[in-house]
Amino acid sequence: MKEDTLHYLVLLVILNLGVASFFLFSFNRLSQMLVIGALGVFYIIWGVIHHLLSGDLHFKVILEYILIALLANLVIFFLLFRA
Amino acid sequence: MIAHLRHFFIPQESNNFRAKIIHHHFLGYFSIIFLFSQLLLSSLLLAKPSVLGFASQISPEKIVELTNQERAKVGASPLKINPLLNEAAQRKAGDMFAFNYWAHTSPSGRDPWSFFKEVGYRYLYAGENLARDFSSPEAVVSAWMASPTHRENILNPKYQEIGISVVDGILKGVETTLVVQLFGTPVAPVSVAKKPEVVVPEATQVKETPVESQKPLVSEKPLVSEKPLVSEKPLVSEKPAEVPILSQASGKEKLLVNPFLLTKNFGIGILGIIVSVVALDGFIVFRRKIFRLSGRSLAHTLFLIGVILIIVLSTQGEIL
Repeated sequence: MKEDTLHYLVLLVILNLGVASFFLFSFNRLSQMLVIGALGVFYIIWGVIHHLLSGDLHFKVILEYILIALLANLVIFFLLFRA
Repeated sequence: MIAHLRHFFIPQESNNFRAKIIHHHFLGYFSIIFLFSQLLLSSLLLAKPSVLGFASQISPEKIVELTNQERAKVGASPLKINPLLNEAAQRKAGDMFAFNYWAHTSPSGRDPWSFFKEVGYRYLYAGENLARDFSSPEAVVSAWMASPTHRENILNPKYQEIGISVVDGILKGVETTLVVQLFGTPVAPVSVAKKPEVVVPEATQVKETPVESQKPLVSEKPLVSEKPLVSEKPLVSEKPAEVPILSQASGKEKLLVNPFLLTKNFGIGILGIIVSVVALDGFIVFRRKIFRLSGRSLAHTLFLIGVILIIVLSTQGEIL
């Protein structure tokens, strides 16, 4: 449980940094795209490490993180493209 | 019907204790649907550019007012509207639409200063800020103020006059609202001096570092009245650019379908449904102490909330 709290704290820090960086690079579309791409990759890596340490790492689980990160990235990429 | 909805939204035995719409293949379907919707939108943009586009609510007077408010905060004198600068700004916007570009310098090498010359505005200092596709004058000025180089132009105490043009037209196939803001200090007020300091903006540098380079460069050469104050580099054409039929934005909203808002709302809709179901799924699984092999609902919820926050706070518009 304590370990889980630490994992979620790390995730929150990554998410906060990602959101802050996105707005720090306002009006710089390329940097914003890079930030969002990195955020998606970090999320997948977080999932892998979290489940590895929890002892329930499985391809099916990682695929779920990949699909969610992919959808989020798709939406923001197209939004930046249309902005 | 209710059983069907429960199957899609509530974890239970029929869906292997995981809401159906967050199963792998459904997550994949959402991505495909979103991708398909964007392809459709792009096709519509190509086929009917006049239907899809950006509706302007920007009035030039308001931009001048907000610019002067920002200047007042730092003690700089208010800028006066000069009809010649307005005309130069209008011509610059027309040139961008006519030659289909979004830059300080046209693809054929025509720099911003040529428009000053074209309307007969003789200047000591000059500058240019550009913006496109903003929803309000406040958003335009805020974006400029957030950029150090544009901010420098707005607050520069050397400038005395301003010209603004807000023009609707079709740029690269999309209905667009361009805002051209020109700054200038006319020669006349200081012409009493025998050898005034002449400032000649270096147009060629604008292309590489647009706003930064708009800082006037100081020349030691005296002003020679017969020669123009702008760069001696030849313009592409001495004739005024062919200004296409453009509509000066009235500041009133037009009924257009905005691709940015369509994408934004559709994205929020899809991710909103997923995050709601994931959060509900996590709550039920936690309460019933169901064990299953899947990703963490709490992690997905936090990640998707972060992404939705980014989407909600994203604004349209670009400055140059």
